[in-house]
Order: sequence, then C-alpha cells, then structure tokens
Amino acid sequence: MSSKHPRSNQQHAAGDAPDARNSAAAPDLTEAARAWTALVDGWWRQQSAALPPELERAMTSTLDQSKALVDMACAQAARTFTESAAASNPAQFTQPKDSPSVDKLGLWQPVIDACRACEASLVENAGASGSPQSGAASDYQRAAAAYMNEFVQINSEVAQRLQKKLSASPPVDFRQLHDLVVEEAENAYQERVSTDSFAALQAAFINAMFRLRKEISNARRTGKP
Amino acid sequence: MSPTTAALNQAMRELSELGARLESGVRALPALGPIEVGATPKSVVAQTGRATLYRFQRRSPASITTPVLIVYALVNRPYMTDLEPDRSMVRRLLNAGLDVYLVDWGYPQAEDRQLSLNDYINRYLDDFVNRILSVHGISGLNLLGICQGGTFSICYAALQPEKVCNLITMVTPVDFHTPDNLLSKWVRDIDVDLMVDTLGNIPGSLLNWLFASLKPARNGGGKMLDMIDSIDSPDRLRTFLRMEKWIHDSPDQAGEAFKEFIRDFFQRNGLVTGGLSVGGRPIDLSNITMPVLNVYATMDHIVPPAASRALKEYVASADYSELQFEGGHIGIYVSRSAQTIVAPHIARWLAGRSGS
Repeated sequence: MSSKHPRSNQQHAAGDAPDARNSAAAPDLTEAARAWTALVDGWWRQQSAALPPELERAMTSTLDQSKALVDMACAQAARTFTESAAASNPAQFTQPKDSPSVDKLGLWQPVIDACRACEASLVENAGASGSPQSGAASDYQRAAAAYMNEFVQINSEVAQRLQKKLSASPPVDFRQLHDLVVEEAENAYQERVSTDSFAALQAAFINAMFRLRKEISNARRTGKP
Repeated sequence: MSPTTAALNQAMRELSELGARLESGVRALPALGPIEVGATPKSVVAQTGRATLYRFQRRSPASITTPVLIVYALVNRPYMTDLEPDRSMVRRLLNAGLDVYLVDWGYPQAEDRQLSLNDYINRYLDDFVNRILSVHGISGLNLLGICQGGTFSICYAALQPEKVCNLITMVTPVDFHTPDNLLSKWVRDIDVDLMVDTLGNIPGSLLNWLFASLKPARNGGGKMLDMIDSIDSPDRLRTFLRMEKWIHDSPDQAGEAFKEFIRDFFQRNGLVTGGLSVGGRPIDLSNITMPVLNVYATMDHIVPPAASRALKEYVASADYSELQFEGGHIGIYVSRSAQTIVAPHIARWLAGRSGS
C-alpha cells in the first residue's frame, strides 16, 4: 500500500512539480485519488469487523460515496487544470493520465445501495420468476432503467457545474475542493429530484417494483410462472 | 507557479496529510468497543403489544409535578432523544425538574401488519397516558410529540383534550403539502395499497432508502472527512458511530398504519383539509385549546418549517408559541447548541404552565 500512498506525491508537490520545470503537466491528482481509495480500503479492512453487520454495511456504502466524492474532486480539478494549461500554453500541454469519469454512479452510492437492498428484499428470485415476457418484469426493468438514468444525468450536471466553478475560482485547499464537490452535487441533485417528473419516475419505479413482487408472490402461490 | 497549479499541489499535500491521519487511526474503531446508545437509566412502566412505556430515573423528586410523555415516531428509534450523556434531551429535561416518560413503539413483526393508527393512538397511547395519570393521581399530563409522534400527539390531543395539559410538538408535520416538502412530493403518487397488499409490513430498508435519498451527498460521503478529523478522539468517533447506528436502525412499519399515514396525511393532507378520522373518531383540531409549544428547525429537510408552523392556523389555543431552532431535523436533539437551547426552553415553558 505504501507505494500507492498519497504521501508518495509529496516530494513531487513540494519541489518537483511540473510548473517548477516550466511544464504544463497536471499535478497527478487522479493518481492521488486512486492512492486515497486504496488507503481508505486498507484502513476499512482493518476496522470494519469491529462493527455490527448492519452498521458495517452502511458505513461501507458511505465510504464508497466518500471515495467517489474525492475521485470526482480530483478528476475535475485535474481536468480544469489541463484545460487551463492547454489554453495558455498549447505547445507544452500534457494530458493527465486519465480523463475524469463523470458517468460513475459512486457519487450516489448510499442511495443506490439502499435501493438495491430494498430491491433484494422485495424482488428476490425475480430472475427465475420475472421472465422477460412478464409484463410486470419488463415494466420494472424499464422503470428501473429510467430511474437510474436520472443519476447519470445528475452526475453529468454535477461535472458541468464543477468545471464552471473551478474554472472561475480554483479552491485554495483540498477541504474546500471536497466541500465544493459536495455542495455542487447536492445542489444539482436537489434541483432534479424536486421536479414533478422525478417524483413521477421514482413513484413509477417503486410501484413497478411492488407489482413485480406481487406477481412473483402470486406465481409462487399458484405454481404458475 | 500558476495559482491553479499551486492550489492543486496544495490539495495533493492535504490529501496526503489526511491519508497519514487515517493511517494513524489504524485501530480506531476496534478500540471503541460496543456502540452503546440510550444514556439515561430508565425502567419499564407498562407494555402493550410491542410498545413499551418507559420512565427515566430521577435522582431527586421532580420540581414540576405534571409529568411529560415523549411520543416518538414509528420511524427510527427513540434513543435519538437520549443518544449519549452530553447529547440528551431527556437528561436536560430531567435536570430541569421534569418527570419524563417515553413511548417506544418497538419493532413490528409480521403478525402486526393489521395494526392501525387507531391501535397506536387510541389504544396504546391512550393506555400509556392513563397509566401515567393513574401513577401520579392526576387528570392531565404534558405531551411532547416528535416528528410523526408529534402528528400522533396532535390527533390524541384533539381526541382527548381533557388528558393533555400542555402540548409540545417538535419537528412535526401538519401541512404535508407545502411546496418545499420533498418527501411528501415523492410519496404522493406511490400506490400504498399495492405496497401493503403485497408485503404486509413495510421494510425499514425502504424507508432508509427514501430518507438517504433526501440529501445523499451532504449526509452521506460528505461527512467522512469529518470522521477522519475525529479519528484520534474516541469520544467524537463514538458520537459519529452512534449517529450512524441510529440512522440505520429502522423498524419495519406495520402495514395498515403505514397505509393510513401515507394515504390520510401525506396524500390527502387530512390534518389541513379536514375529514380526517382515527378509528372512526373525527380529528377536530379546534379541540386543541390547551397551551401549545411548536418547536421547529430552520434547516429541517424532512419536515420543512412551513409544514410544522401551519399548526398555528388550525388549533384553537389562546396560548400558542413557537421555538425556532437554527439547525436540522436531527441536530435539534443532538447538536451542542440544542443542548443549551431546546430542552431548557421546553422546561421553562412547561414550568410556567404546570403545577410545581
């Protein structure tokens, strides 16, 4: 783990940074985010057994979201730096190792995990009973896809907002960067989920989940698929 | 070095420092031991079905002779009011001279699916109120309802006004259709008959999902850096984990009561639009003539202030007042500022209106 530790970047940050060599390569924040994730995972492996299972599951989900927040913060900051560098000095512009991935849903991990936990408890064995020709199963699949797509859209909106904010005013420290991601994520999320259309999609998803569950129960009771 | 590069390098340094901090707490959680909640000693006074009436132990006789009964919600667990010694509304009320009782609704099981609001309000709550009145030889008590428990308390006070000397509602929804009520908006089109018909009881995991969905970034991963900041403080870590434990401690909901609450309160907004009844007995808020203290939180994302403050328009009390707390739905019980503001205010308000 030590080779992945963010501290391995300290020397780079302190005196050997790309700027110091008059290069436009981005400080490797995406690598720092990966190292951070590895560090948190290692730490959690040593801690999690101390908690009761339900709390352990909840904390795992929250930590996953925290890692996604850091990942997004680092990725967006790196992207902003890269674009800024490219605009000011295209000849020396260097791409960061990875492009930030805005389509990851980890940012909404607690919601998605809680949703899946609920699904699991409601629609168990849906694969066996909810065959593709079942109207309830296909309705559910459609509703679930539409619901999850909302989170993809929100993620994209968060990325755009962050890009705008970071371009206008770079954060002075990591905490500020992190808090900015949280704030923009929450703002973009609230705007979308407060709409009538989201409420309708979510209700449709929940209703479809229960219709499927009912169909499965009926099939079990009558012995008919 | 450009300002942007300097900022990013600074960010990397700080991330590195956070990592070192995390590594330094390698035994942090295992060293804490079990995460205990419910700090104040209490004894069981009565049990009906899954519901339990507790009385918190006092070290000296109460200086305010009319006891207060805390009515918690069916959702989540009532130990939020007594999370730990320094974050305990219960303890503050005891210290202010009150005799404090608490209703714990318990964890409904499959056979409880037919429990209705009539059972909760007209049977269990009324049984417990009668028990307290009998123990103290009095004709009325102080009722303090929290969130959904506040809604129950309003219904009870409207049905049995002679048994309620003073009514306190905390972060209690009254008008469920205010425009800022996201939860209400979400559940309005849910087919609650289908849900209950399909499942019987409603799993706590479904409610966890809905509540987690209300503010998922700020109340989720967004707080983890704060936890890392607390990694070398066992007390702060314990508080953090107690909160997490409470958040995820969600009893299943008795099907019939859940259906009635969603349909009559969330969907029909019956307290405001009228026509509401519990067990066939109409709820008339104009029966609420006793003094009312309505406590709400300015940053409450579950019960927006407007949803609570609507109460004023519908009760007939000549002694209605409000306490506005600068915080959220949970902070009103557990934050540092709440400890010195909320319970002391309630105790003062009651002292001026109860026998002492």
